[in-house]
Amino acid sequence: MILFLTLVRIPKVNHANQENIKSIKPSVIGVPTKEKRAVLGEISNRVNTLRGVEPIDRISLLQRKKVPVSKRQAIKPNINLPEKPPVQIVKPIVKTTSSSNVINVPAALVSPKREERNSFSTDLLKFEDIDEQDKNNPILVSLYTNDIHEYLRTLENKFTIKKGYLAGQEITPKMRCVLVDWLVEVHQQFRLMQETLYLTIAIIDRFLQLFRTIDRKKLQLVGVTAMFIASKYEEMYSPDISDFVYITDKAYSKVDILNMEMLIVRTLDYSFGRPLPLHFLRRYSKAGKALPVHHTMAKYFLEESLVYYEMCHYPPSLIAAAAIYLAFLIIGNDEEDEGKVIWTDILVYYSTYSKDDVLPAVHDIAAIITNAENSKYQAVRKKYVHVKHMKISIRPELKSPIMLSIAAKRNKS
Amino acid sequence: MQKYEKLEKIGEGTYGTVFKAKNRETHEIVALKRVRLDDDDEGVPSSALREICLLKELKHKNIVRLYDVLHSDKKLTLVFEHCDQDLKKYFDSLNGEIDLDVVKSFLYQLLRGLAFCHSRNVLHRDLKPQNLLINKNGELKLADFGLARAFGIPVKCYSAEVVTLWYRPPDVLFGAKLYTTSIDMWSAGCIFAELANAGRPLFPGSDVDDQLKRIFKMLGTPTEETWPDLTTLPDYKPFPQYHPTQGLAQLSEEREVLLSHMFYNPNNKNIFNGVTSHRVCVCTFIYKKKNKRYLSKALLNTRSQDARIDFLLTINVC
Repeated sequence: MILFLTLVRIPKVNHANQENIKSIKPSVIGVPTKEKRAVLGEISNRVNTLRGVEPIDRISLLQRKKVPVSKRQAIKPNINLPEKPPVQIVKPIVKTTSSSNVINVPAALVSPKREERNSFSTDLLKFEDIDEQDKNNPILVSLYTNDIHEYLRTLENKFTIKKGYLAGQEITPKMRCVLVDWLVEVHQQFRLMQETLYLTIAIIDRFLQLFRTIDRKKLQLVGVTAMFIASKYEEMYSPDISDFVYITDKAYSKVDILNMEMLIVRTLDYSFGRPLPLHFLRRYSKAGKALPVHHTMAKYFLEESLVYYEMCHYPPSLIAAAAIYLAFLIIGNDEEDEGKVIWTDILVYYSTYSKDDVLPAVHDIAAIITNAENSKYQAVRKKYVHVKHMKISIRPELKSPIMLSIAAKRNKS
Repeated sequence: MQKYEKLEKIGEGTYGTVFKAKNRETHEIVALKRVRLDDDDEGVPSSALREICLLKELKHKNIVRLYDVLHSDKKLTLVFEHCDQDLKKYFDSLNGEIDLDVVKSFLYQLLRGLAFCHSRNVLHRDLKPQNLLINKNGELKLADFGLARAFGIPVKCYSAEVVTLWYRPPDVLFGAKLYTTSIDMWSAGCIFAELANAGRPLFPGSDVDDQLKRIFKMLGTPTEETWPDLTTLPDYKPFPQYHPTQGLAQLSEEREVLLSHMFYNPNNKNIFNGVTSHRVCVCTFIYKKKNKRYLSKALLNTRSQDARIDFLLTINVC
């Protein structure tokens, strides 16, 4: 059900949660750029990306669109399912998941004992120094980039999401899908940064995994509150709390959100540092010399994967590797010569994953993507139809024989 | 809150009042930072959210330790390790004289703490003497991460309203929103000069214009030649052409800081020469002793694992 909202609201900027307390003056937007680095984004000072530059009147943005209605209603299809006794619900789920099925990437894979490197340029003998060109560009922080990526891997191991963590909970995988699908739309309408979407979903999964007793009526509240927190963490100008009340069609009050915020930050003990697949994707795209089309395709894969519960346990660094792998495989490769040319030594080195590590996730993504057209959850696909995203979700490669054959491998295994 | 006995108010942080307190059981002295949460507010302030999240992962002896977060009705309390004073107060107690070994030690610890933050993708964005705590053992610790944030690679646009005026780099003063670890290095450079000069600030500007003027008077006004694309910065405006004071900041009769390597272009503006191309920071200052000028050079290996500092002291340059 779609609700048309015609409320007129005074645009608000969340002053309390801006990066700084002083009032913000919207500043001049920079001159259009000359040097465009499509994959890695703009790197010069002259550029201000369109979002995050000044406070955005999010409500008026919303008014231009039909707003999907409160989660309560959106979730309804699930709730209408015949009520099963809890045991019956639990059983099939338990079946499909061996409970301790955390993706345990062998330690050796995650943090290989690399030689101590002083900097990229000095000690890498065997491998191309992909940061060589950037030494004089501080925006790429080449000085610290290896330290940082290694650190992100340790964080990733600290904040894992277990496979099948919803088993035994009132929340079903399907409800999670509906929620994430809706949040993708909300995120788009609020014009938030990409990072915020990934962080939102990571907060939801980690919270549900730890808390375990959220009832279905509160799931949407968890969702908007996670986005509220993620915005405060990532955004320069985060939306006002009342925007989040509004987006749920007032299904929840401000106090509900504040209470849920406290519950989430305490349950997660303020740990919002789980690295995001995007952090790794950018690295791999660079190492693999990805074209913008590869990078955008991989981003589409990653976002689509956010929606599906069966993907949430993959470590961010692994799913990002799988996404760029698949993008390389289907764009500009005629033969199904899987991996030979695609997963080069450089990619193995910078990702720390071998081809065999990556393949299971590649098959999973392919299966989801080939089914995307018929899926109930269309938010990501619709988003990536846009020219801004190179109409990537309707590219013919997504239905190519090679894609279908990769997807079929998942069904076999 | 029963766990701690409040002793006295120490100061105001970015977003809350700070108290000195004693753990009733262990008698350990701690610092409590109190954050009020009101119902008509926006929940946990983003500054507190970030500070807690970042500090939980930043465990280093040159970074103030966050022990705990206490929750009570309408209030968050951050429990920090307590230090006796901050660098500002230390300066105030100096009477204009500072031991060179102290300068070296503090500078080294500042850079080591900073290198640790940067290698864990955290920008501090508010380095100043008030935010550098010093304990009885002469250990220096970076504190107040209320403006800090995690950065991605490549970095994105962040707020330009960061860093206390005196320690704010020229590109950010001109409204640049795209900056990186260099933002903290500029502040560190200013603090280094201030240290070397026993607490007299290097660029004590009164407003943004005055701040830029002071910088340009000492280092020369940048041009499109010395700093490409300078004029395209959001708040750029022209300044009179000042010539650099030979790259030397006259700090006092005794000391000068060599600032010739303090470039404007953010591509290499780090005060520490060569930091963008090597993992070694070089800090140089000249001081006079018995009418002789000596060059003091600090080499800092910024590798977080084994930060190392070597001083090539008392090289006679005259």
